[in-house]
Amino acid sequence: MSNKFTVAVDKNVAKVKMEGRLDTNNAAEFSEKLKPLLKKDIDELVLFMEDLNYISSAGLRVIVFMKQKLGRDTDVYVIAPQRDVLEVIEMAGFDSFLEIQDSYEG
Amino acid sequence: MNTTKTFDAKMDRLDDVLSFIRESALRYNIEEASINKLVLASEEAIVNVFKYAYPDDTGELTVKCEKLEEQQGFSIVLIDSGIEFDPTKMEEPDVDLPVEDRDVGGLGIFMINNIMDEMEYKRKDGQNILVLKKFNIME
Repeated sequence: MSNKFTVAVDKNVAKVKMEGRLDTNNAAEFSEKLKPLLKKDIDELVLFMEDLNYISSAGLRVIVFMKQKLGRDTDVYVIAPQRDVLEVIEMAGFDSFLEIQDSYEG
Repeated sequence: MNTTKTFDAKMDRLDDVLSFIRESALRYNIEEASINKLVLASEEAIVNVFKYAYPDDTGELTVKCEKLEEQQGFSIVLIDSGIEFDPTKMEEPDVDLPVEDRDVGGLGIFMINNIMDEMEYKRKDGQNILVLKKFNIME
């Protein structure tokens, strides 16, 4: 599967569909896709990870960067991560500030 | 059996290096979930070589994957001839800090330490030699 990140903004919710791999080679591209969100008023950043097979620390860095820039009033959701991806998120201690859920309502 | 291959130390070869490690691990019947972790730890270590040992993007990285005699172990050895760089001396971030205070660097080394059972570095004959070991993953 090719790597693909699709961002859609609806009112104050940004939905990001993530496919394939997020690693050192495409973390910058992922970051560029998300950066425009910093200029908007975003209450929720929702990362759909069902089709994400792999994430490395370079990918995690983008997520923590976004969370830091968006601020404490913005919730960052991780939806349906695969087991390996979830393990990496937990290993890095990111589960302490990400809302990890099986599905997203809304 | 041991598997060795040399690559140009360039970021755009990263996927090739990781595929090589994945295929080597597959030959030893290591299960998929463990391979994914080995690949993750390797990526972090290889990116360090590309960034710190070869900052000007020229040089070679040799990767050796082998079965260990001890404790059903598997090892990945990274050898480069670049600038001396000891990843075992890198500081780990504090992952218990609230998100606002997180340092976004250092995560890679933290992941290597968490995934692998041993990480040994030596500098010998102008080479950086990094040995990553994981035990109890052979069938």
